[in-house]
Amino acid sequence: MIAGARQGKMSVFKRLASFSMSQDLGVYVVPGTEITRAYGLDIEAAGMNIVASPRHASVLLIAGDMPAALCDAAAVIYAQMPRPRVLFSLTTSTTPELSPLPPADIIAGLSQQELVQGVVQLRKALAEGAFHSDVSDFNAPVLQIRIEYVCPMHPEVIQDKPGSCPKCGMNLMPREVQANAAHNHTEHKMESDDHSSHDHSMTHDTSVNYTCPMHPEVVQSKPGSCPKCGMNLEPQEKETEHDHQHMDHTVGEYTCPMHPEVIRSKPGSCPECGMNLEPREIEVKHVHQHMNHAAVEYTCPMHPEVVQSEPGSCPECGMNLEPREIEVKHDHQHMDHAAVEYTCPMHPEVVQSEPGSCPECGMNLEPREKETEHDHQHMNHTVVEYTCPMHPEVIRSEPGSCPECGMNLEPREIEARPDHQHMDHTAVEYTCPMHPEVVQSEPGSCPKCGMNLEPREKETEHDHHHTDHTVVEYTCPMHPEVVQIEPGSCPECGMNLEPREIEVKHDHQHMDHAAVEYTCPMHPEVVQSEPGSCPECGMNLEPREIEVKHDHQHMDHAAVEYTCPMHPEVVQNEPGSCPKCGMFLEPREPQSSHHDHTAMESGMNHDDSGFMSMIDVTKDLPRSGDGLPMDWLDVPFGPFIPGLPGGLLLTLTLDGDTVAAANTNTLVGTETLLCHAISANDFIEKLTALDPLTPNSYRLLACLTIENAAGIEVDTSTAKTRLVTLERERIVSHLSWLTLFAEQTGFDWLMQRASSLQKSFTQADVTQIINLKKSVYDLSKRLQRTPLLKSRTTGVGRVPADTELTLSGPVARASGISNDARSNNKIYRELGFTAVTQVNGDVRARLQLRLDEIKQSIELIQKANVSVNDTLAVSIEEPMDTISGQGQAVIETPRGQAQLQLTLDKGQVTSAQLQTPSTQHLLLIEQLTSQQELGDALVTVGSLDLSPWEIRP
Amino acid sequence: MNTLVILFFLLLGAYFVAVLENWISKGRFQLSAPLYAAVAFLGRESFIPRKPDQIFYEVGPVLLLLSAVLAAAVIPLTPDLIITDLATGALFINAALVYVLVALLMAGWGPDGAYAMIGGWRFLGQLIAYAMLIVMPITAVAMRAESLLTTQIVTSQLSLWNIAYQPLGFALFFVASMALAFLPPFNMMIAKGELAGGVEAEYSGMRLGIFRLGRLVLIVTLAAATVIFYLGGWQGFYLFGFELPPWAWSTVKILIVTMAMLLIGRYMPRIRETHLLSWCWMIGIPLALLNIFVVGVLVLEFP
Repeated sequence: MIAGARQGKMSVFKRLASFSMSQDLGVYVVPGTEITRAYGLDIEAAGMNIVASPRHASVLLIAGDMPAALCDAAAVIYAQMPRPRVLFSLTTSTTPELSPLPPADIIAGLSQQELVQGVVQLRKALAEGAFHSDVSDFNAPVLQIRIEYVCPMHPEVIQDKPGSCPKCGMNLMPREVQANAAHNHTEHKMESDDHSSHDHSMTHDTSVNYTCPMHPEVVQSKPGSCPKCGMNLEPQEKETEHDHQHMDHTVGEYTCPMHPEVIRSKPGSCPECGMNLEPREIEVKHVHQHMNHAAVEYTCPMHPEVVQSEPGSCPECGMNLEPREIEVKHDHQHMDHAAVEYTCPMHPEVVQSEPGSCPECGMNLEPREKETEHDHQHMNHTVVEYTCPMHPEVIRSEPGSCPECGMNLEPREIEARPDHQHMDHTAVEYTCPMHPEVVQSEPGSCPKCGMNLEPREKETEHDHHHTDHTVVEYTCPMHPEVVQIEPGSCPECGMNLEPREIEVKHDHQHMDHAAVEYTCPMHPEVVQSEPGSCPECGMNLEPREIEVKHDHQHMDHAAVEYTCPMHPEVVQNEPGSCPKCGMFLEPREPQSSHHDHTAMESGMNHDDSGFMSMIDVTKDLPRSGDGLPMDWLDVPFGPFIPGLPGGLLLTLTLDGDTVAAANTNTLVGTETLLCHAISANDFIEKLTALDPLTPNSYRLLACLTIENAAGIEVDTSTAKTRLVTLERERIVSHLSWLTLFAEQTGFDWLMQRASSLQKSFTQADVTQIINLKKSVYDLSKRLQRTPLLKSRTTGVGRVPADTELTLSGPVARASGISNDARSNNKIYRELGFTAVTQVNGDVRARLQLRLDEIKQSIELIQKANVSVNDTLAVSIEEPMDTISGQGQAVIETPRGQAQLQLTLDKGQVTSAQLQTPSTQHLLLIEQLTSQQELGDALVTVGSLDLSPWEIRP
Repeated sequence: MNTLVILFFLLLGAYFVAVLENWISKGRFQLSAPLYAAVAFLGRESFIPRKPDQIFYEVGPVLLLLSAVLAAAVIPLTPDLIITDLATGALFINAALVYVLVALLMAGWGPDGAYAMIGGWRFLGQLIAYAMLIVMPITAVAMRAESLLTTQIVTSQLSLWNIAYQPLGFALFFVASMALAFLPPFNMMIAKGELAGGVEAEYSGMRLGIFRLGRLVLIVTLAAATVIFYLGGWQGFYLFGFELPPWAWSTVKILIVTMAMLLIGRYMPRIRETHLLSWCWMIGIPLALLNIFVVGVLVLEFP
């Protein structure tokens, strides 16, 4: 019975279908085909077809052991596969740890023979078990989605509930993001990409309820926000009422205290350091991670005076105690006891100057800075927002709790625009982007729509006519309907009133409250007689004269024109209706020639400077380099996309099909090499397991460093054997890269040829290597003659030679920087080694360089003249128990220079630092892919030959 | 009756193209592989993206299949075997094939996915590149035949096949039809290495089956069009003293052209979009115009 069977009963037709499915196996390889090739496996030869997308696959092949982060990503891939789907695991251990994936259906060893046998088993299992009458759905925490609301014009404004943007008043639009944001390693939108669970409707597990960590009585069956406090609801299992009852082995999860990202569903050992995993509840995950074990206390929600440092029950009411952070230190830095007041997070009107309980709900009062005079003055001009001190990207317009950590949000002014600082008040005026006729000499809000005014240099005389400084009225920035002739305080909110020029004369004369109606600029059919918000989009309504014919006679400015808000090209000298859409024409200053000039100089169509013009509406949005504005999408390429090394998460912000920004991350890099002292041999094994793509290089590095620490010098024949091993690994690695490159560029012949050559080299001994020399030369010559290859790669992804990053390996040498750790090595020098370089530094140069290096490695192996009988394994012969010292070594891995420094203490390695080449090369991606077409950008990233396993975050 | 035969032929042709594609890319010649794949499509669950543009999402693959079949409607396999011998046959082929663009754009936009959308945009760029290169060689061919009737075009090649008469036109038409059928090296829109399947990525189950079938029928149709325009259609010659019937000649030629189309792309990396556009417009179109001019001169001398 396979876990991913499809619902149904086995009828004749279904049997036929199952049999066909067992013959037509589409396989999606995780973490990537380069790993399977590194293990010497040939998947196509075993009878399976490698497909490009998990939606075309029926088998998920997991090669080797995967770290927890990759398991999450693999769960997303698994959820996208159409059923019936089979999980096929190739591993050396008997029960691979694959949570949150279901247990593997077929398990086989990491050899070609076992793979073939496994495929036979798989076919049988699929033919018999493709349909099953009772299947359960697959669900995993990583697939949960929550909805947040963002403003289309201000993407930094994020809320959990629908509402209005505090900056411009527009309604917020919903957007989906991953629910366990603190837990996941892939923090980006899940809308329409390889990670999205497009079949979310199917995998929605109805047996999980969602509850609020602060309000356990709130229970829903769908993810969402708590109606009481706004925090995200956490998943909770149906059987229990309360979170804390799950502190038992069957339903908790287990994590390593030193490596919180390691999470398993059963007790065991941490794969990174070997410590026993400690149980921890799932539900309070997101809060828990920010809590250090020393800084958490447990308190009763109903009796806040009951505080303990361990979980338990409240002595007064018996409820389970909830964890809560001890007041985090940095809050205290901001707070001076004299300037601190205590308020209830749920009832912000309750304010005391000492700690205590809220009289309304009994919760502990939280400290908060007093609104000082100083603050208040700055808060005149701008609107207050609430932000989390630990997560500055979380912004709300009301006080509340941070969804990520639960802390109270602190008030803060909206970010002043940088322009603001540079402009002298006397030379600058403030105008509304949507209403250019609104002009003030101080910052504030536009009285018509509420948006912040933007600074602008003073315009020509023409404008000044419209602003008469003697006719000034005072209005409240937050309540524009409050208008007075003298300065004072707003009766509604107490703020100081701001001066504002009375509008253009002719408007003012007719702006009689009885003859004015309020309408929405975007929805002209919405008309009210009082100010307010548009019911359709939430924007502030603007005042507009009720059209009366006699207005025409009072227009003293003969230069006023009437234009349609939706069709700025319709311009008339009299009021009326737009011939295209029927809207009332709005009065507007005519575009003077001065305006036209500036508009055309900046390349804009002068029609677009009017109301609701695209230029103004998209003012805050980013601009594309080639002038063609297209949809901006955040697209992840990755961790398992074919063509890029598995485990590399590349998130590209695409402007159409050009890359506007790139964000890179590795999901398989290890951060700490050592958490406690281990023996030298164990350390060597550990380093060998670091990077499955180049295990021998790191093994050699570890051995060299330990020998350096011990002061041992190996003899020439061992050194030569090691040289052969390293060079063979270089050849294999470059051929693997060549295969990946071919897969990426759609060059099928090269993909097959390079992968078969790689297989031959992996298993070859010295004589066979020399025999394969001709094939390599032929391949190289063939690639010179391949049409389209030169044009595809020339000039693409040029790495500048003068970058401040430390480049090494083929990436550096292709740009002309000739640094190669092998030049310093005695044995290499004896064999006459000189580093190969290329000049251009583009993808073609790197391709050519790697081919040349393969040839050079074969030459070196030939010259080394090592006897066929010598083993090519690398190890340390002498016992290490009594050695102490510090050692360091440098090695030229196939990707670049790797350096290791370690300290030996009586045979135990106590500390170690490793620098790997891919870590530096990762930083190149951002500048290299900027403004490139997508295909070019991906080829560039591929040509850097990164190994996500060796990237140290 | 003619319709049924031609449709059957198309289906059979599509089947063989699938077998050939499998053979060329994986080295395994399995006659039963497409059959298993087809039944497997029926057995697999098919799901839809969460917020698709429903109409476009559903119509895309079907339109691809339809436009390929429509274009095949005017292609004669033998002098009598043609679904409809339109007076504007040669131009009708082009008109029907334009809907391939519409179908791919629908398939790109419909699923509301980034990979598919980028694939759709790329095909739009590719259309701008190859569109002229399909029409202009057809014009030259029709000039020689002095008619747009496809049967007439074939009979006009009695003396000399067009491949020898207008080799430039043949080369351009061949390249352009590979681009139309988005075969490698012009397969940016279903790029396996870059877009994880691109336009195809969001389809599964029967819809994917129809999409793939549509693509295969398109390849067969384009090969058939190449054969009737340039390779003399059903006309054959004595081969070792045997005379094959016309339909056999058609079949053999179509098979050869299909193999050529599938094989060429294997040995080259994918073309860059910028290069495709610039080469087609700066080199391709002048060559096509030159071809028309040369054919015009030749027609005066050697009809």
